[in-house]
Amino acid sequence: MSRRIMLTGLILLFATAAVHAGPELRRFDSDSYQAIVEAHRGEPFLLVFWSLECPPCYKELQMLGEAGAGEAFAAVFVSTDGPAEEARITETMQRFGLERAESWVFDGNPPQLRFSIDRTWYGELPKSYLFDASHQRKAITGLLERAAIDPLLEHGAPSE
Amino acid sequence: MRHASLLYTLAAVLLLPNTAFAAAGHSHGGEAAADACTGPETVASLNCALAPTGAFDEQGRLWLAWAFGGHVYVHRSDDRGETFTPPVPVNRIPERVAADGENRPKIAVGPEGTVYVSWVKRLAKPYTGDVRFARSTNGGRTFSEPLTVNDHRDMTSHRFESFAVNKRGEIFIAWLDKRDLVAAERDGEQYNGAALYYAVSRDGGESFGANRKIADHTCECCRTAMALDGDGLPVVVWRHIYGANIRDHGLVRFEDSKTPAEPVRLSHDQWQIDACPHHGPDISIDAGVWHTVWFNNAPQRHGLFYARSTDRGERFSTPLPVGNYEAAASHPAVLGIGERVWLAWKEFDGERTQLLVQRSYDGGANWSEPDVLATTAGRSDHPQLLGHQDEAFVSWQTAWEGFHLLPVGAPK
Repeated sequence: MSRRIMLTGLILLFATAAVHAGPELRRFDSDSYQAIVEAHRGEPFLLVFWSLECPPCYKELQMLGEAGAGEAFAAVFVSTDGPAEEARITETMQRFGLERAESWVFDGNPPQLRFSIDRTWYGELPKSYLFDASHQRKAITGLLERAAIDPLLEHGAPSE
Repeated sequence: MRHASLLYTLAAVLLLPNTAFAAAGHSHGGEAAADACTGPETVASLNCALAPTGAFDEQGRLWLAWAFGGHVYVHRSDDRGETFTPPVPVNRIPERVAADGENRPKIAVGPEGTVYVSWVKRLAKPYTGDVRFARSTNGGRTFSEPLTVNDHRDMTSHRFESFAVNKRGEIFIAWLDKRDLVAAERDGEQYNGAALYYAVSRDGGESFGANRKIADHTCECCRTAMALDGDGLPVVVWRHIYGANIRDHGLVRFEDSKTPAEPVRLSHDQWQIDACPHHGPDISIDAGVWHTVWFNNAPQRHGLFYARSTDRGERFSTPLPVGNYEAAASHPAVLGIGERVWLAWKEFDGERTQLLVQRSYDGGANWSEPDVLATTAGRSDHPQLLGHQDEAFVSWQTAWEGFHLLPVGAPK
């Protein structure tokens, strides 16, 4: 009897772990920017905004996937497409080898969400923010150059 | 059968990314109305319309074209937007209609009262589409079978069209076209951006002539805009790629109905960007003055700008900054009627989107302070300025409040 309970517990544990190992797409609301910055306190990281409807974004995702974003260095990805596109967003992240990276999707009124991040961002994509260890923020509009992530690669893998 | 068509409708709605309100959030009660528009029981209505675009006819009746569930619909209001006739589907067979702020159905009424509609049919691959066109010669009761304007039919981008019909009944249509990119890639060569193409119909929209190119290397994803000059010839503005990647604005007028002049550069903001601004310009022409407005976000010169020309585009005035850059002033429209000129755009104050208007009573030389015409706490479409004789209106669709037709000032 107790073995059976233990077994059930183990199965449940694995099932839960499996769910968490998969690409969880978190909902980005007007508090999320601060939450992301706070979660990466003391650590340099890259924050990337992208969309399924943006051809240069795919080039950027490919470059970042090849560079090991999320594993070799800390990176956070935010799709501006909306929760209705969850399946395509997840599929795209997997396609570029980014399934283990922290991934979010805009959930709310885009002007309001942009306002919470950067008042001078008009929605151009891709849009990236490089944070150094003291969290000085550098905004990059348009395709990110490979050299821009060198400081992050030097710092190495993200903290857990 | 009925289920299949419902499923198609639902799929078509869900498949339209970047639509004005398709991906409405769940956390705000006010957006329940917008969410309700994606249900299988939803019928076509202005409340659930995507990207409604308007035009007045000579009698001052407002015609609207909008997208819903794989169809373009058209209907009319005889009382300035208070009530509308039942919406009539333009395309009988459903197709994926592009319906976002930059890529939306367009409508115009010709000299004989013929109603003309254009839109982009989205194709299977992302960023591809064909320019579609239909007309009604019976007052909007029925529409002709849609035709495809682009004579290049590879699955690539033929999108972001704009059109106008002059008093002679000639219809000019211009759009951004990637056929030259396709050809270059076939030859293993590089081609930056898209190209601006145009076609003319001389038989009242029954057919369009051969497609002709105006300019190579346009930006790929911003709306174009067209106005007619005093001779009834088109003037087109668009975002162009200058040099390697400077995305400023170009403008072209026509010498006659068959001959575009050499394009000129309208803006010099030097916005160097390898990205999708999704933020196109606007133009209006009246009383010999060309009024233009655009958005750029270069490090040195950014925000909305207005400029005018009184010599048919030879020279433009020093660009006048419009709106509050720190409040995301965006998606501007311009309209000139005689000496009066209006600018309309959106701003965001952290809580609400505001619709602003600025007025000039001397052909665009001097301007009033901006007025807030309306606000919304939800999502909203790009505003449009519509004129009829002496009157001007802003048309604006918001997810929470629906369609607005707002008068923007009595004649002075």
